[in-house]
This record gives sequence, C-alpha cells and structure tokens, in this order.
Amino acid sequence: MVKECKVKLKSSDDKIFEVDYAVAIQSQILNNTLGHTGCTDSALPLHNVSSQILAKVIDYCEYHVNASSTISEKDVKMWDQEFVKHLDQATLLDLLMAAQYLGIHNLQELTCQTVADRIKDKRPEDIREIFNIQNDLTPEEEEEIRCENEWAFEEEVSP
Amino acid sequence: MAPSRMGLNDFPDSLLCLILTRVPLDQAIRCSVLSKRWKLLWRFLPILDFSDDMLYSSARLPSARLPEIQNIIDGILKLHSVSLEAFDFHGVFTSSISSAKIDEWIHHAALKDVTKLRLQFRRVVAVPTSVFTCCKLRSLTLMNFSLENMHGSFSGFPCLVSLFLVNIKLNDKTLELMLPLCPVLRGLFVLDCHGLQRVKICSTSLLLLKLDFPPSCNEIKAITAKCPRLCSLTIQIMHHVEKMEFELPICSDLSTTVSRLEPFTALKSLMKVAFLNGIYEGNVSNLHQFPYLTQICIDNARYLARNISGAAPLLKNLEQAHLNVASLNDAIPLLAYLLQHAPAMKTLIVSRQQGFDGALEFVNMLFNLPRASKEAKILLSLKNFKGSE
Repeated sequence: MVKECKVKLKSSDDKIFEVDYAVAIQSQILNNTLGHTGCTDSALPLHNVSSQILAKVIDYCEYHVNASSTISEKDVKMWDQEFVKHLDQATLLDLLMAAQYLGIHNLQELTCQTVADRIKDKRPEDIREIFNIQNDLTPEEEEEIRCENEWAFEEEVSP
Repeated sequence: MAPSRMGLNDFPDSLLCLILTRVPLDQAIRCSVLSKRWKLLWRFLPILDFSDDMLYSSARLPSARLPEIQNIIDGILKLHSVSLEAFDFHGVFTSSISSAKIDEWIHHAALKDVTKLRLQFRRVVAVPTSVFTCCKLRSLTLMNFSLENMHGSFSGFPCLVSLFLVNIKLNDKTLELMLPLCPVLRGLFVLDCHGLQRVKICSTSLLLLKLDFPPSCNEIKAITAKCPRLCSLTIQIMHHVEKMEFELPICSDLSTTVSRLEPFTALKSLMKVAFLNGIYEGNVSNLHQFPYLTQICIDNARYLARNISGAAPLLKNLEQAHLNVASLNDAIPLLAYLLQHAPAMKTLIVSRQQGFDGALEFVNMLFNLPRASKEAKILLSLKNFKGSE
C-alpha cells in the first residue's frame, strides 16, 4: 500500500522541498528514516546537499517513480541521457556525491558512468584540466609510473 | 551554509575506484599519473575486467600485442592489492594464453576472495581447476567450456547464489553432483548446453530455474525438477521430451516453448504462464486446473487451438491475456473462449507483427464476442493498426 503523505526535506542552505512519499523513499537513507519515524510534519535535514543539487535530485526521483511501470526502458534511458548531458562538471560531481550520500542507486550509477565517460579516451593532462586536479608528482615520479605500466601509455604517442 | 563545490579530489577513494571500474583497464592505469593520490588507486579496483573492450581502449586489439598480454596481466595481478569483487576474463586474446597461466590467475583471484567470476575463452577447454578453489564465489558465469568431471576434492561453493552455464558440454552426473554442493543457490541458468540426457535438478534453495536448450539438441530423454522453493521456471526445448516431472509446489511463474499442459499440471500455484510456442487444443479447456492463474501469454501461436470444448469450468482469476498470433482469424475461437470463460478479465491484448487484410472485419468480430466480464478491455496491436475499446 502506497502512503499518500508528503515528505519535507531541508537542504543545507535551509530551503524546504516537499515531495511525495514514493519519491522520497527512492533514497535508501530516507526510506530507512521514514520507516522509523513515519511521516512527520517536520522537515528532514540534509546537511550535505545544497538546494540547487537537491532540486535536481528531486527532478530525477520524480521522473523515476513512475518510469518503471509506465514508460519504456528505451525512453527512460533517453531521458537519463538528457538529464546528464549538459551538466557542468561541478554539478555532475555534486550530484554523484548526493546520490551516494542519499543512497539512490540508479542515480549513482548514472552519474558515475557519466563521469567515467568524460574521463574515457582523454589524456591525463586533459583529465586534470577538466576535473581541476593538481599534479603534485615530480617529473621523475611521473616517468617512473609510466615505465611501470608502459603498455598502458603507448597509445599516447600519437598526436 | 552551503558546502563548497566539490572537485573530483574531494571524493573518497571508494567512489573514485567506482568510477575507474567503468573505464577500460589501460585508461584506469593511465590515471595513475594524474597526481600522487591517484598513483595507487587502480590497485584497489574491486573489479578486474579482462575482456576485449575493457583491456584495451582501442577498437581492435593489435595482434602484435597478443604475446605481451600474458605479461601485462601478470604484472597487473602482481601489483593489484586488495580483495577482488569481480574477475571477468573473456575475449579474443584468451586464445594466446596458456591454460596453466590462466589457472594461475584464477587462483590469484581466489586468494583475493573473489565473489564474482566470469570466464569465456575462445576455444573450448575444460573448466580450469582453480575455479573450484574460489570458495567465496557468489556468482559464477562459465561460457564455452566442458564440465564433464568435477574435481575430486571440490567441496562446493558455500556462498554461490547465481550460476550461469552457457554453451557448456555437460553430463547428467556432473550437474546432479554440483547442485547439493551449492547450498544457497538461488538462480540456475543452463543455456545452450549439450551432453545432457536425463536432467535432474534437485535443490532446496533454488528460486529461479531457466533451462534453454539449443534447437539442435535432441538427446534429452527426461527432465525432472524437485525444488520446494522455486518461484519461476523457464523451459525452452524444441523437441519432444518423453518424461517431464516437476515437483515445484510454490512455482508461480512459468515460461515455456512446450505446447502441452500435462507436464505442468502439478504446478498448482501458477499465476503467470507464457506459452512461447502456442498451446495445443485439448489443453486450453484444461487451463482451469490452475486455480490461481491471473495472467496468460500465448506467443507465436503455431498450434493455435481451434475446436475448444466450451464446457470447461471458468478461469476464475484470469485478469490478463496476451495473444501474439500469426493468423488473426484462426485466433477467434481462442479469443472467444477466453472472453467467455474469464469473469475477472480486465485486459485482453491481441498483437500481430505483420499487417494483413481484413483488419476491420476481424476487429468487428472481436469486439462483438460475448464477454463474461463487464470490465474487460480489449487492446489491439497490429502493424499499421492500433485500437482499443
């Protein structure tokens, strides 16, 4: 039996979002919490999720609560791709962290795969730039790593 | 107070590893030059996927590289540290590696408590003996092997939950011996295997059983399954099997290419049935033998019942029927029967892949058939024609 109540969520910047019970329980964490406390009027604080990200998470969950029964798998996949396509790096990473924190398995899979797709086929220099990673290796250290697994670096020779 | 925007470096190691498992192995290793922190990350990958597309990013493995692969994988396994969740080994390159070496690698994985193993070699060989030492396995997929003997000292897979045997040369004895050695097995999938004659599946833990025999397979003389917890059974076999006995008291889902009901009459708990190869005539009027039947699907109905006796008791719980038919007019007797005998019918779906002439007459005929259920809704899905009422 599906509960009809609404659930209030509070983002880290104190914004309140109201969602259906079925939408909220897609998060394992919220599922467990609501299982213990039941539907209350007070908002559940989500200290690690900003309002901007929480809004996107809710978008995702609201689509997916209905998707499994009524929409074809192909259409769901297309929607998912659209959802992540134009996300900037920072938002994408924040979403991945939020999905992991909240325990939303399919969102975590989706964002994880998207980050992997953005790493794929890129040279290390490009990956560093895209994801803002500081290279703290000395040239000697870097050379040592390249020698250890020479075969993995060979393709880079081509311009 | 909003948390500051996160960079990839703020992620915990486990999350970074999760991302790295989704890129080809050579690229994951290449990430070790990104920074100090990334240097050793690849060694903690929970999944080692040695397959054609994951080992080398380039579309095709240059054949010149094949001899080196052995050393490369050796190197990777030596450097890789932690316990392994999954070890996947399949592809073109497997043909250039000696069986002894592969055995060694799998043994390596066993020492790392690997829980998921997937093996598929290019040429058919006996299952490497080290597979039987992976005692923490929860999922095992073997493709293209021969499994005719079990290793003498094999004590079983105490944690195995899913077993996939695809294109395996088996024999009755091995399969029969293997099952009791997997005490928590929940899903067994035997697909395209040959060498079996009297298939005997006895398991107190099994929930899902799928037996899919290749069309060329005609040696099977008997199939028996005795699984007190089984919920879902799929049997696909093209030729006639003399003896089929099923002791599956709580099985609720059946999907089969067998067109007769007799082998399944003991399955009194059936709720959902799919006859993938149609259903013989006499059998339709015996469907009431399944008192809990709520959903029936008849596909590719070559053997479409035509002269169905109308005197059978009602199908009290039948709510949904889906018929995918080759000839619409031949389907009318069956449709009429179902509509008349199912007082709880909610949805009747009729579909046909090809278009045909006379659609409108058929539709008229169909919608005018007497129905036992006032709520029954008929949905048609015919090529170039979609309608419902």
